[in-house]
Amino acid sequence: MSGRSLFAKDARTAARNRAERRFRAFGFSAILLALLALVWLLVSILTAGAPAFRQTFLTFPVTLEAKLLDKSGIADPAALSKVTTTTYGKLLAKALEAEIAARGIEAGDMKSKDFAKMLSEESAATLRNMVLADPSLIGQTITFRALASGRIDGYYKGRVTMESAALDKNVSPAQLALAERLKEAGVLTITFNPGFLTMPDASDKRPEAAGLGIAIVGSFLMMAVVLVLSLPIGVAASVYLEEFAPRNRWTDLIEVNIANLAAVPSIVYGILGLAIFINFAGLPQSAPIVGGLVLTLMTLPRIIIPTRAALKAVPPSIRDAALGVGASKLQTVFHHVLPLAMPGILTGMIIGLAQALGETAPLLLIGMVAFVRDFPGGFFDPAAALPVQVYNWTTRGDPGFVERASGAIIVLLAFLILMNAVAIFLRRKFERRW
Amino acid sequence: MTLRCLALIAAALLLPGATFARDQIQIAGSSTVLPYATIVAEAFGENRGFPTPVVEGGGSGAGRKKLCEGQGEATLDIANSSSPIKPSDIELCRANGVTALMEVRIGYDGIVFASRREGPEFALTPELIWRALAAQVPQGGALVANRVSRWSEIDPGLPDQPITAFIPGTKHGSREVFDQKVLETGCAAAGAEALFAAAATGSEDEKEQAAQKACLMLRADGRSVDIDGDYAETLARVAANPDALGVFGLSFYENNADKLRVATVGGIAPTVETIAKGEYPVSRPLFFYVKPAHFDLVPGLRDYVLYFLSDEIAGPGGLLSGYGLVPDPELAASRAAVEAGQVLDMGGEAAQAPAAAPEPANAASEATGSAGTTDGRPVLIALLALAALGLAAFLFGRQRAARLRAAGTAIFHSVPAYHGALVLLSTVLPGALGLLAWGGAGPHGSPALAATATLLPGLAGGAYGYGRISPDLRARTAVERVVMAALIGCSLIAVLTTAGIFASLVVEAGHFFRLYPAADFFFSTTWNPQFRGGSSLGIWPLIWGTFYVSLIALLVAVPVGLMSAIYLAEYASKRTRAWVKPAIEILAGIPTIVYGLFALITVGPLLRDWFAQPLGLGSSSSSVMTAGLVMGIMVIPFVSSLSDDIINAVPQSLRDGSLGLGATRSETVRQVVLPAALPGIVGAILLAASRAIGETMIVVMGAGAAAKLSLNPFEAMTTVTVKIVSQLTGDTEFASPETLVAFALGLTLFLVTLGLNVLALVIVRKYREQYE
Amino acid sequence: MDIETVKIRADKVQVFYGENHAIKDVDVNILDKTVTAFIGPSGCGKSTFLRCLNRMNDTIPSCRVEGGITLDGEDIYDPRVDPVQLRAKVGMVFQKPNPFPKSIYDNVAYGPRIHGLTRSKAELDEVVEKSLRRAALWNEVKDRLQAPGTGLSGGQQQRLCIARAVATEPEVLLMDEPCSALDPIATAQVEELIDELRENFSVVIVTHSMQQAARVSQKTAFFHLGNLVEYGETTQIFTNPRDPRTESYITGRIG
Ligand SMILES: Nc1ncnc2c1ncn2[C@@H]1O[C@H](COP(=O)(O)OP(=O)(O)OP(=O)(O)O)[C@@H](O)[C@H]1O
Ligand SMILES: [Mg+2]
Repeated sequence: MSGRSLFAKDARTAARNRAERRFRAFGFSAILLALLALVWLLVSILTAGAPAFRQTFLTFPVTLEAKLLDKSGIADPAALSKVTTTTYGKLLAKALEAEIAARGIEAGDMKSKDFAKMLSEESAATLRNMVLADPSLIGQTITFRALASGRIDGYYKGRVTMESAALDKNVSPAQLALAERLKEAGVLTITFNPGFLTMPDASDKRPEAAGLGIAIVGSFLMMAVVLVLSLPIGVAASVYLEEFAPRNRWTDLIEVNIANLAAVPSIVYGILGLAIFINFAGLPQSAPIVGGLVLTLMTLPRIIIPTRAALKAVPPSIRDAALGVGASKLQTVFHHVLPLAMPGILTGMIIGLAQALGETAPLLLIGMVAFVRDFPGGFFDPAAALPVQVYNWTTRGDPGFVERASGAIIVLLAFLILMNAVAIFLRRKFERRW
Repeated sequence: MTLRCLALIAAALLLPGATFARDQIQIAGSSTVLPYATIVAEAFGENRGFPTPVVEGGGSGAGRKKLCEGQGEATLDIANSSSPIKPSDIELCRANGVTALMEVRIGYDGIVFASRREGPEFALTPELIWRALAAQVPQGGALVANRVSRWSEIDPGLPDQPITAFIPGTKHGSREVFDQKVLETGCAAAGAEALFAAAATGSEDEKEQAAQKACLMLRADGRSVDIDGDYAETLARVAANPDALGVFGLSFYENNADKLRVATVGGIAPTVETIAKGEYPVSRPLFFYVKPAHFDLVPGLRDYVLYFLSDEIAGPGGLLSGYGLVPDPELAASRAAVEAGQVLDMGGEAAQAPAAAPEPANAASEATGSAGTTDGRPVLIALLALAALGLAAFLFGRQRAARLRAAGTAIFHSVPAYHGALVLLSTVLPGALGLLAWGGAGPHGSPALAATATLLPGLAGGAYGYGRISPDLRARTAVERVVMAALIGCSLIAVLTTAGIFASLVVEAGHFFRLYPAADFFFSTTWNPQFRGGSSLGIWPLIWGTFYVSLIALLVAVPVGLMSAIYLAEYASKRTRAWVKPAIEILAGIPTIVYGLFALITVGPLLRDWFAQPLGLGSSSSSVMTAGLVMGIMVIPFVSSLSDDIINAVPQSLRDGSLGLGATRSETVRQVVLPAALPGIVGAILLAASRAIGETMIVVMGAGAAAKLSLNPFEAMTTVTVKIVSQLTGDTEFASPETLVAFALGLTLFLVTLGLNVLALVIVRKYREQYE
Repeated sequence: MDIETVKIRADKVQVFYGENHAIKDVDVNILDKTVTAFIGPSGCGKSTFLRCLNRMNDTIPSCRVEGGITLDGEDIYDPRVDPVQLRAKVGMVFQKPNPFPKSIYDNVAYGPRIHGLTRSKAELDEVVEKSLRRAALWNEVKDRLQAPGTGLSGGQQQRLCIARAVATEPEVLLMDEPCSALDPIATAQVEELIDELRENFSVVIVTHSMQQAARVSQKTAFFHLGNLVEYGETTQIFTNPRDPRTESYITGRIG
């Protein structure tokens, strides 16, 4: 009863095989699409943010004239601090003008106010702080590297063009043309800008000076709170649920509850924090301690789940062995099971922390969006947070802040990559096959 | 062991890096004033030798509420406000013991009308604007629905182009000015107010009110568009729409003058000068409110206020006028008022503020500092002392047990360390209770009192525990019992969190429902919060927006995620799988703020320029499509990872069965594997949906803020989460339904996601058990 | 036995799982309309070899097959051969019953549907009924054809799987320990069924039960450590094995 030959081409099978190839292609393109989206996202953020790490500076000699800066003549600190940044700003503008004249650079009909506008207001403050820190500088001529104004900087980053400058009252085409000539002369340079990582936020008038210093410190403080609180509490809760809790409806409820908490919208935690920590407990706004507490509550369930998995992965034989030599159940868990589960627990912890680090929405509600210029000295001092700083910058009026926001994201992503790398390293290093 | 204890104490010592005495000025409030305040704060910090004040936005209403929460270090010093303080705020202030406030007018904010730089000039008047935007206009002595479609139809002098205006949404402070200075004036000028009043019924008063309300009614045919986002959103919409006219703040316009052409109103172009002279009509005063009682409490506060009012800062040609703040002609008077210590008349017996500032005045700070605030210092000191005592207790207890064991012959039930730990517990627990009792009795007093309240019971307990050490004492059992209790306590935190969420939402939502009928909230289809009360706060437009965005997100994520999961589970080689799976999961690890920024700067403009505009579907870069698409990308791994696990859990025998019958792989997947995995996949999709519904940052930055029931995916719409953020940080009063509605929204959101999560969890769990 | 037609011819078949040489030089001729039993100790490669016969091994990435296997004289590993078509001709029943999570009816109709064997619903109904009758299941399920197949008892499930395999009208039916999960009564039913199937198909059955092999098969192959040790008439193998290894296995000394 031999049927058709195996080699016979059969239209139906061919159609089915085509369907098969189509299906496979769909699957493949879905993956391609997902990966493309990832690449698109990263590339778009990276290209938008990379310029934030480079900044336009003007380097020129400045004579710190005593008759302007030290009217007392005795470098009395109190008198010195009376001289405001306005004076220093004028001094800088004059020095720039002089340098341009000295180099014989064509400056057109620019007034000294126009020279001042090419410099960031931040540079006057920087110079003032330099002098206050070292009054002996007064009377000397120093080479000063001043931040260029945001518009000049924007010109080199493609934000500002000659056409837009003609319409913009903050910058003129003449200034841009001068900037070009200064660049040729080597006065204007575009270099790596460490200040982006170390300086505090700046007001809307100086996007060029805005930095992430306080946001990084603030995020770090919050993560410290999250770590210190959620590691012990999370481990204790997991140990109880995994090792001791009876299996009944109550623990079932707790379990569903934890799984739900891990998926509750983060903004809800913000409302909780606002109601409990700020309105009820009266903790200060914008303080890392409050942000840390809110993020701890949010992170706990996300830590308990992997911690329990890590505990579950420790084979029962270890427990039996310890119990067999007369250890109590608690001793068994703390002396034997926990150490063995530790790599898994730490991995889960780091991933939980990484999630907390990137969380924004709840922090908006508890006022972590403040404008802070002084570095926090502790957990109760006002501070900013990395992701919120990103959001904050996107709401500013000056377009220069968009680039800063993308740059901040690069920093945030760098931290996340670092943390995940540590987690992967831990997992690889301590991975155990039972 | 000792070392470990020392490390613990060192960690405890790290905490008080916290400085309890506040030396930074704290400012919050209006987002219009925010940029000016930050500029001044920055300059103040640089020049005056005081720390830079901390400035927060959050909206005028929230700022004033916080200002009025009480006096003392834990409360705000200054509230920025774009509108004068409301009676309800003053009442709150008085209730909380804030008896004196200074009102400081810092200048004016000009409201300007601007169109695209490339377009024609507009010469407007309030009447023309009103005639273009009003819902009903007079025609031959009667009121008719407004059907004008081109500017030139209103006035031949205006450009011959369609009317489209982007005006501030009703949550903005500037809308109030727009209503008063443009619409009401324009309505009266057009002679419509009388007509409206005539058409109304009731008493004179009621007629007048009805007329006023009718004057503010804007046409709903899409020619007048409310922008609930910030000016940047208005700018983006205007830049993309050649016909549109947008409403901006003067300073925003001046910073974007290269993109905008400003319109004259009544023949006057808005500049700092024309507004200061009162020639340009549309402007509003900006204020801040400061507590004079804090002048002695917070170093530099008075100095800051005076610095702000100096000519160098707020005067003509000063720092702020360079940023678009219109200087107040009466600045000198304001300065003098502050110097004289003049306070706002708050109806009660107003306390005179200290005129001169003797700084620092410790006595005053002591008195006010302890009034409403919880000073952490005593608690911390007590805790530290207790920790030290505990350490000592442990060491002594252990030592004694060891000595007894060495000396005697009796066999100890527990090793010395447990005895030490038990003594420690019997010290620390009573001590902590004592501290709690001290706190509960009202935290009055010095560190010494707190320490005594803590240490006395601690010492007593410790002595008792120390005395009890004996061979028969089951120290280990006792210690273990306490540890066990601690473990249980920790696992209860999860339950407490849920309870806390629920309680805080229910309580505040309860306040809301007392002010606003629940039926309207749940069944009304308009969302239109108003400044002067009478808001419509129907949740449906928000639910629709949430649903629409989530739907688009799922339409992106489910096919892509599911097909990826299928490919990975059924086709991909092990090597491909090993790197593709984690790569896709990266998408889940990226913070949502990154997606938000991606939506804002990349996807939004792209969709607008390539789809919405060419198709004539809109000009907004924030849209349901933008947010949905980006959120879809974010949700892909939630679908794919869980589905992948679930597909892998389908037993191989089923696949073999199908392949053995001559099915192709895709037939096997579609007809055997997927039906078998269906419940699990449904669970995964539900979880993804819950994720999408609760997502905040992407929609805040990508979806826009307009509450609308529209089908056009390229229009800006808004979601529940966006409104939670914006109502809690808006310009409205805190105790008003407009703000409290955020809690009702939060409750709704929590319950919906709870339902979805639990359903999904149950489904997935059942599914897992099936193949266990 | 009238004319002995060879259905499947295996020639020097080698199977490797990565480095593991699981099947070594196996030559065997499987006859049409005959029940052939594969016996041998666990892990000796019975299943592996069986799965070679309808290219189920293709689904295991690490598996490599060498040598020639022909069905009706056509090389089934020829690149022109579509495994899908091959498996329609060479059906398979597995050790553990694996009904699809569908109704009983849809389980049986699965094969005919994907291969497009029927033209109408009525015809399909007929095929389903016929297959279920052949699998001796019809009377038990005829009133609940729409009930899920997973709801049947283990024995019923296995017979459902057999019905499902039979429904595609294969020419060869491969059965890998089909009775290992069944009780004696169900086993007896399946054995009876196999005997009936012999009328139309060539059946290859892997079994660990000597009695079963003796009862149902006409030919028996004994595998040991990947080698085909002995292949012959069942009666001969059980009464008069030629190889000492075969003898010790069937008398219970190895395995
Ligand atoms: N998927 C696989 N990957 C790698 N090696 C395999 C795989 N399947 C089987 N093997 C190996 O091939 C050899 C033969 O296995 P096979 O399953 O064919 O034995 P069997 O005779 O069917 O045994 P049993 O009677 O227990 O079913 C064994 O050594 C086994 O370890
Ligand atoms: Mg086998």
